[in-house]
Amino acid sequence: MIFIIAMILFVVVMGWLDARLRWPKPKDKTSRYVSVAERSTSLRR
Amino acid sequence: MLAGHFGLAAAVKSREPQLPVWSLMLCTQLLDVFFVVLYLMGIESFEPVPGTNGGYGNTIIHANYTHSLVGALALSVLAMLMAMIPWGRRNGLILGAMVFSHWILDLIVHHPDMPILPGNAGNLPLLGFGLWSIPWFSFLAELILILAGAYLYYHAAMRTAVRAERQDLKEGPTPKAPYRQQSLTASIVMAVLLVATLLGDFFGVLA
Repeated sequence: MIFIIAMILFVVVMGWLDARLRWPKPKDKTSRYVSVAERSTSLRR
Repeated sequence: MLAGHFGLAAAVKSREPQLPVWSLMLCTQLLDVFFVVLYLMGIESFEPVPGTNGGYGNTIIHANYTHSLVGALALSVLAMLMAMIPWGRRNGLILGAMVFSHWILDLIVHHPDMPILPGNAGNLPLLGFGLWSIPWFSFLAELILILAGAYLYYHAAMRTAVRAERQDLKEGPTPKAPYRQQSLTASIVMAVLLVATLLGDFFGVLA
């Protein structure tokens, strides 16, 4: 029972927190290329 | 294994950010979701390995339908088709693969208790490489998986925050939301929940 509750809680809590971030949407055309400059900037900041 | 599947979902999220994390997590656990349903119906079950109290890795699972090779493939195809309708073919394929990843990871750790055909038809050999026989090694492998997942999720989330900030700064003087703080919060919670789940599983709290 605890297993099931833990599983549901994990998915619900992370689903909610993750939904607040501005990820691309499933139907968006996404560019998977991340430039070196962008990568280093995101790490530095 | 519970945390390891979630760890993989977090890692995949960093590479496929367009998919909601709940969908990846649900898909990695879909076989267990169906297992719980069949368990409550009395069709599937589990028992401690003889001579043990059934703690971490000491369980033999009689999931002859949900965790059979063909059953797992069928559930993967079902999930793939259901995800394709709203989210397109590529996302459907990814989520279908996520469902089947559960079977692959379980194959590595399970004792030989996973049949090939549903209901163990034909009494074919049961599958499972039995990494659970060495609990500390299994724990270590799962720990590496969840730490890698948490790390990759953190980087992807922060990258997304920086992009969102830049986009907002093109349109106005300040970002519309504290994106970095939100990303950091989500990443910390992800890491804490992953580690807590693994420890809970290891020490038998989630039994």
